[in-house]
Amino acid sequence: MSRFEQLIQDLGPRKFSLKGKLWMALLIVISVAGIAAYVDQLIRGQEVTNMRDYVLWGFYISNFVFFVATSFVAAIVVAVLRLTNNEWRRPFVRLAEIVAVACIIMAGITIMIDMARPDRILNLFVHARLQSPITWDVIIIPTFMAVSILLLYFPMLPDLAILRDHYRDKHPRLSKIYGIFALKWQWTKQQLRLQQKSIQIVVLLIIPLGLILESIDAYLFSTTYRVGWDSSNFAPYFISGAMVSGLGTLVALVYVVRKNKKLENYITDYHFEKIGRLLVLALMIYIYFNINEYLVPLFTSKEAESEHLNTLLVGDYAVPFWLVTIGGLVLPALLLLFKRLRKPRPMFYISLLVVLGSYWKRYLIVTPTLLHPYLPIQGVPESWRHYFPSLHEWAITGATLAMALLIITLLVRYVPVISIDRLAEEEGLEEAKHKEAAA
Amino acid sequence: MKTKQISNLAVLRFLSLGLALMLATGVRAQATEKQRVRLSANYTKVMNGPVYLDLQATARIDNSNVDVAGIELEVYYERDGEEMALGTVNTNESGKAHFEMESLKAIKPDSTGLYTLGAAFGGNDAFRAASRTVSFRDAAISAKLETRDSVSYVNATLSDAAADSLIADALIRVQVVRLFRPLRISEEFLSTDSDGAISVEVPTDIPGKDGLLQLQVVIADNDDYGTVIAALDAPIGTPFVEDTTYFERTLWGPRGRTPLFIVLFTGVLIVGSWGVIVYLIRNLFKIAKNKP
Repeated sequence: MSRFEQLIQDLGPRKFSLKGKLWMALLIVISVAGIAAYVDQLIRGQEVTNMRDYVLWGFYISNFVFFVATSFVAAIVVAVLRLTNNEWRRPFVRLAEIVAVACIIMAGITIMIDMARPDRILNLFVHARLQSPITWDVIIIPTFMAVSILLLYFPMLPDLAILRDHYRDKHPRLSKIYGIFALKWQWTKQQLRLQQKSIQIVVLLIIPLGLILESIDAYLFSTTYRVGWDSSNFAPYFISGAMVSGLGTLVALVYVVRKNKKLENYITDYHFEKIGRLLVLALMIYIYFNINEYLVPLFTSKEAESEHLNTLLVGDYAVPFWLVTIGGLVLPALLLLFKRLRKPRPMFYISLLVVLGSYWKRYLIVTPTLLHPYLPIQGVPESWRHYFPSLHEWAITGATLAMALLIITLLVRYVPVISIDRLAEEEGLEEAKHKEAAA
Repeated sequence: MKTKQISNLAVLRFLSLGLALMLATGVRAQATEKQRVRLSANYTKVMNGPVYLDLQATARIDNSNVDVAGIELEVYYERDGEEMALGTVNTNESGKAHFEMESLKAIKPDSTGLYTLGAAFGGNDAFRAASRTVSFRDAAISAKLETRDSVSYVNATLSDAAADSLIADALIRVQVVRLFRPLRISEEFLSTDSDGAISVEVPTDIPGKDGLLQLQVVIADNDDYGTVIAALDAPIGTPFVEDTTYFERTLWGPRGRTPLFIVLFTGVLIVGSWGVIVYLIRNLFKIAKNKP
């Protein structure tokens, strides 16, 4: 078998193993259960959730914030690594592009789930107020989604063409499907020029768009006059938090793909060491922003803010708060300072801690604030003073996560997770077509 | 000694059992016992407007007053010992009901000019039957606005419509309608003089929309006449000067008043981003059409 064939075999589509099929079945079951719960929510209204007059943003919104953050960082990582042309970027960029697409699609769906009347979605456009960050969000999410898809698609064209050619005789149907998406790619000078130019533009475009996306996400909170949100620090705080959740997700995903596709020769300890450093930097920056976010109000806070801080530091939310802060931030940062822990397996476990911490961090940003309005909560049932997601919310949120994983799993199944075309070119293989085009 | 202890224990058990049975029976008896509904009725007449009866149903349950919601009350009037039905109303969540008539012409007084309106509850599984009547004479207030030496006065006269006589020494007040509760402009205990008249100066500094004040002359909860209200529109207030930024381009204004910098910035971003996206999609078409 030639080296080129070897590359296709290693990186190209591979049928699901039994484990893979079980994984897919699990994701489909969770998704179907969530869809059923959502249909029930549509019929009965948001009464089925535990969101009431005070906690009117709950699990759905924290889920949405997590998706946006992860998508933003995945895209930014791709853009920065491509622009700086880091040699260790290759194993991460395609997977990061996939994560960016999956997460931004699910972010869009999640925000619609949070609407009690999705049939009125057009009103968001028809009656849009440009002063409202909600309108900015409505504008930026489809924009970012389109650019993320293009960011994934343009670099993938040559790989799709390689698979089209590879399966021409063995699986004509598969070859035809790859052919449709490969857009008659033939490595011509003109095609390569257009592709390189487009990638450069997308990469340059997605950085400001990503920053706008994440900042708008923060403005949704900070432009409302509420305890814990009313902070000019919020956009950078969100961006640094997104770096943590996005990189954590990426590390965990890369590890799982590497293990399941047996890509140890392509994604090495060296790559994990490099991204581990990036993750530890992100964690340190986020810890710094957390200190700013909680320490300064601790000194200057008025009564309502003190009450909110007390709830987080020593009150009802103290356990999750400290678990998230220590378990999801400080401990991973400390552990990743040791080089021997920046190896694939330890990093995988650490990144799981980081992702879990990041997820619940969003919950802690959204919920406790809503339970501490400036005006006292009066004349409402006792249950409205507390919030914990209902079964419907768990099922629907679980389904959105499952669907994101489903998109990622399917893309990883059918698309090379590392560019075969670039590898072939770098290794100087005869089959690499770039040289022919250059000639 | 031991036998005595056992005997005491047996007695104690017997007493406990008896007490438990008594309590259980008592609870059941209490559960089936019907509660008494207390009705209150207030009569109000608005000059040149409707007359109405405000009803309130409460009950004393577990040592606290509870509003009785959703019960039907039959409203009637009495004349010469005979009850004539006028209609029915249901109490709302607060135990309140409002029965309105166009005027007093719908009912007749007795030979002395005394009207009697009543409301009766027929009883149900939870509450016993109850009724309440309220008797009153028909009073009239004639009010008008006068200006003397640039000072405005509300002059009003209170009279008994049936006896065609003026009512002296009746407590009366003059007030201005405000959002939450009326603003009294007369002295606290103002009574009509021997001619049934009053005269109250209206301050000039009361704000009103377009300077219009809604004045009211009221006798409230009078033992003989109930509540009678005469309304008077008076263009003698200080007009509001609306201090609003509604028509300016602000961050909190309506969408038609978006600040221009936001319109421009957002517009540039949308056109810029989607322009590039369209250009990139065009590149995809060009890639697809390019031949070696």
